[in-house]
Amino acid sequence: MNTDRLEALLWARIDGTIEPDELAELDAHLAEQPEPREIERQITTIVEELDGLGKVQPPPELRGRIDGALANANPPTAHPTAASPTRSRPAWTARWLPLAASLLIGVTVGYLLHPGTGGSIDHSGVTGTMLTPTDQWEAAPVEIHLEAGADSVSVSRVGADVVIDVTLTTEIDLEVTLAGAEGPVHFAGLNTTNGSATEVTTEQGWVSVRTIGPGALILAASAAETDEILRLQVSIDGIPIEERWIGPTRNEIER
Amino acid sequence: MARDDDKMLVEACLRGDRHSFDKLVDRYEGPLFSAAYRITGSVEDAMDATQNAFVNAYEKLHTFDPSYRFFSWIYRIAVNESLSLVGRRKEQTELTEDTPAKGRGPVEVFDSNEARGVLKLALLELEPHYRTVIVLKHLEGFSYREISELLEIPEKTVKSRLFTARQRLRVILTKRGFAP
Repeated sequence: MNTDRLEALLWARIDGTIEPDELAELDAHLAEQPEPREIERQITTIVEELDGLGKVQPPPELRGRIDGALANANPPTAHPTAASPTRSRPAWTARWLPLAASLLIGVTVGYLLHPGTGGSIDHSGVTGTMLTPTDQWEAAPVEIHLEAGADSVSVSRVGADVVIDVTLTTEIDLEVTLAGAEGPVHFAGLNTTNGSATEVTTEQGWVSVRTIGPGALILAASAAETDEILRLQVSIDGIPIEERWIGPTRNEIER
Repeated sequence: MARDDDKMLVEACLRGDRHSFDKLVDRYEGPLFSAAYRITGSVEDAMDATQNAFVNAYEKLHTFDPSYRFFSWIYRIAVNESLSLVGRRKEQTELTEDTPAKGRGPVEVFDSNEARGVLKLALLELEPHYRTVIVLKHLEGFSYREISELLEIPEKTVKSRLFTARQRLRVILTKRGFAP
């Protein structure tokens, strides 16, 4: 048993998620080897000390600051709009499908005609942290070249309709998440090619796609509004490597 | 109970009863500050994150979906505010164990437990997104599913991120001579 496996089982035991056969495997290993006992002691101590950290109490002046800030805040809208992912959109499907289809074709043709020549990329924008949207958003389309070869994530957009196109040539664990800046993004469909998608989640205003290449993945989505700024986050091996805020196309901005 | 009560307070606030929101502040000021402090490592940043979370939640209260827990919603706002503040902080090295006491008075009783002090420093050495999952899992007691919802990432990512965070924490602590 290597160290990764040992640690995974030790933590699973602490979390209460270890399976009986795994527990037997762990117990046998711990009984046979002295070194794993050391790691076990370390992990046990870490958990005990983490448990001991407990909660911290806010300074008394915080409440006054909050009250002061709330007194100057804009009151919420009187009637709740209950931003629900199931909010109805009249004739939504009929409006969306042709656009999405044309976008899918456009993106695919674009790749065939101009492989590897996406739009210019501005890497000076937001990266790495979950910032609230500022003026740092970029006009669509946006293309992100990943470190590995020709791998890329591109986002095309026509109004509220969005297409995310993922191309992977190597075996990497890639996760792409798209979310509305202040409200839900409505997702109606998923179109994959080459069957590389391993996990797709669509709920409560965000979509996350996890794929292990190689292959191509095309995802169609729709923002709540035509001018809504969307947050795109790209992670490799669970670590966020890019976060971009994507607005409408330049043509639509100028319109 | 609290969930239903929260909804009533939100509805009352949306009808114009501003004091209803005060009750939500009473209820969640402590938990939000505690999480923000553990993520930012700074009392000042934690206060800013908590204050911003309440103001943002108040101004956008009409976007809250009552089919979800209010606490989860505002907690997510506070976590994002905390991460945003950490990202903006220019000098990460200023984070030290002494930071909480600067001019603010102790917000927690610093015991003489050396191991616990080393652990706090080690947490601050972790990258923010790793620190956050440790805080949410071990200090705040959230489940994988709840963390997934709070951070808006898949549950599998929570698990893999937490595994890496725990590994890195152990390595840091071992280097610091923390382990028994």
